Amino acid sequence: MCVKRKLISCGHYGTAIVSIFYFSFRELFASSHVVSKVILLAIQKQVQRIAREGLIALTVVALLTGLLVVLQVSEIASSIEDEKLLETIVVMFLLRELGPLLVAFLVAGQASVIISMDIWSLRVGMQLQSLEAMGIRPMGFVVLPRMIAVLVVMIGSVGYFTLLAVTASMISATLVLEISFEVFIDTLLIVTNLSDFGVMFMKSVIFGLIVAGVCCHHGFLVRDARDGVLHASVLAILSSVVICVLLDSFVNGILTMVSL
Amino acid sequence: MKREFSVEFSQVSLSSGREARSGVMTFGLGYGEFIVFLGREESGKEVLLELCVGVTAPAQGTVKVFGVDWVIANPTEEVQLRQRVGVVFSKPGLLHDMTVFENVALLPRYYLFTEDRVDELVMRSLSAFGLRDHRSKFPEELSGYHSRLVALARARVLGQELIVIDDPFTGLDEDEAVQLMSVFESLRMDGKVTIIVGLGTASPLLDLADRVALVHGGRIIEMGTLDEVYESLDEESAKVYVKDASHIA
Repeated sequence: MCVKRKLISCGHYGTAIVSIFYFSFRELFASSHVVSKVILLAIQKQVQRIAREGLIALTVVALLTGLLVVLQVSEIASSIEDEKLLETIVVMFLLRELGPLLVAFLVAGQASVIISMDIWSLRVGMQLQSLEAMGIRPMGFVVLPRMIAVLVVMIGSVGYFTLLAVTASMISATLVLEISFEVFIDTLLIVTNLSDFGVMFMKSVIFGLIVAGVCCHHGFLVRDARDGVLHASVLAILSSVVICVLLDSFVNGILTMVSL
Repeated sequence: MKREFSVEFSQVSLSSGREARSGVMTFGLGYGEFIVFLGREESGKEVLLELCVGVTAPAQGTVKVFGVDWVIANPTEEVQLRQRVGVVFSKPGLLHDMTVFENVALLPRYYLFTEDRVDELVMRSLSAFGLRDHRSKFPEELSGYHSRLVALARARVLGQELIVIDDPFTGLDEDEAVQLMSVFESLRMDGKVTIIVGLGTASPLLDLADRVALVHGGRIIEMGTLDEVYESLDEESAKVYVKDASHIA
């Protein structure tokens, strides 16, 4: 019975997230107002807020991840006779796996607090009610810009993260394993396929959508003041992490099946 | 000949079933009329205001604004209607990440006016409420009174012919309330706009009103001029509604 109840509540949760996607992205096609300067300004402000808050953390994590990958690989590189092992692992880990996943965790952390707080204060301050009365639909003005902003931040952050992490791994490979920049870059270009970038982009979009949908969903559930926001933020982060990891496994399973 | 109303309630009830029969409301507001819905918290006053701006549908009956029923209005009619109706709720509802200018420009920009036209409309509205110097400020930099004025400027930016305002004096001190009174006086003098105000307790604003509607238990129990309504009240009820009037007077 307990398992059944849990499954039902998971189903409800999934339906709620899908509804948020549906109703917000439907606004893209519902009216021409969605291209108005008001919406574009709202997206721009959200992108700036979410990206600015986590830029330093993202930079530090990217640099350390690049460094750690090389340090870990250096342990086993000597025992395995594969000249391309380091670069292959860098591509596999940073481009296809760790990059999108770690960035999703970081963006979930930033966005959950910002979005929960925003939506709660918009409700308490009667902005949502005012917008509705003015004929400005909250789904189009409040949720959609945040969804797009999280998506944009996610894609941009994954690109930024990968660039920094690969650079960090290149520098540490030179210092620790004495591999020259030229050799590292040449080998990296050989082992990297266009499909790696495709997978990275696809995961960024999927994780970005999940994080955005989950954060908006929990933002709307906030009922009381600060405790509510805190609770919603924690739930949004945990749910985002779990769903992203689940989807990552699912996507990887499919990619393995189609040999990508 | 049938009289034209800016707002028309026809057989409206806030509840359905047996309760509805005793609470049916039918009345109309003329163009340029100033009416106050006076009722305590949970009296149904807020719902009546929401019915006027189409964010709530009546359980029974129809509410027509400028001849259009909110419930059956098609999207084009609704967009046109939204541009003719301004709303200020008990909290100003300003967006905190936008400047005063951007807040007032929200509606014209949303409805895809050109930026030149947006500038013109916003500056005209800000000037009308004496807010030109505040246009670059953010809501957190404004006093309660100025926030309220910005909300009013936003509600009038497109020259809205109907303005619905809920508890305009909430959170204002005495000086600010007096200042806001003079704003209402000038709006009233303008005569081009129908004004509906929701009040929790009596205030000198009632003197400006053409009609006062006393709301209780989800229906209007009395409607008429201020004198008519006061005459109809028993002493106990009058005390309840009038008790806080002195703090603004």
